[in-house]
Amino acid sequence: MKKTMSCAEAIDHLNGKVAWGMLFMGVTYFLRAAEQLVEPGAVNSTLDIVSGITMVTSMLLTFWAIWPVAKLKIGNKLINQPEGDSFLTDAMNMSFKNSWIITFMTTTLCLAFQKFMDDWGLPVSFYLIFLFGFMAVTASLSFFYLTKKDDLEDLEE
Amino acid sequence: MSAQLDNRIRVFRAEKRMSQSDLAEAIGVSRKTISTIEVGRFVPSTIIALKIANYFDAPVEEIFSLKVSEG
Repeated sequence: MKKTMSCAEAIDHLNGKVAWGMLFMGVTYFLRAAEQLVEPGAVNSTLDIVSGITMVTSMLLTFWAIWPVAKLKIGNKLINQPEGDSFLTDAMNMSFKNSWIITFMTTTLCLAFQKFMDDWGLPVSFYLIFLFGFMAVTASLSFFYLTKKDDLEDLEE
Repeated sequence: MSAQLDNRIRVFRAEKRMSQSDLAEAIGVSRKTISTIEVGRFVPSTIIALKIANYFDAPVEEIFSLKVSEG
């Protein structure tokens, strides 16, 4: 018989899948930013298709992430609130903080080179899209780094 | 001087012959949370620490202690 997942486990799974969703979303936005760097043509069309695929993938990942928790909620099984504090929730919060720090430092660095960047003549949308992708990718990578497998933990089971 | 949180959860678990998953389910957290607390990778909230202590029917300082090191 399949064992029912506890609320805490479901929320942990949600965090992991949200991180994957953010990674795909970040890559999608990087591709959309790259589209603006190339002239309309074959490369541009390819980037368009690839960014469409990653966009669909990130949407599917989001649905896959939310579904187990939604299922518990629909089935009224999310009665007892799980303890809000967990290792993965903590790692996710830390990842958002790390992402903010890295983005803040990168933006500061970019501002120092603003004069050179003005010469590139890129539209404002390029920087906004790139920045959004950068924040999503750094947050997800930070999460994967913070939650990387530790063999010692499994030995304790 | 730096302090690190030490714990004896594994000892208490062994006494009760229970797995990390059993303890996790009993106090409403995930197995990963218990395993990372045990190896000192995650510092639990006061609420989780008290829940663990309550579950084992022991004072919290018997399960958790501070390991102070110079430097």
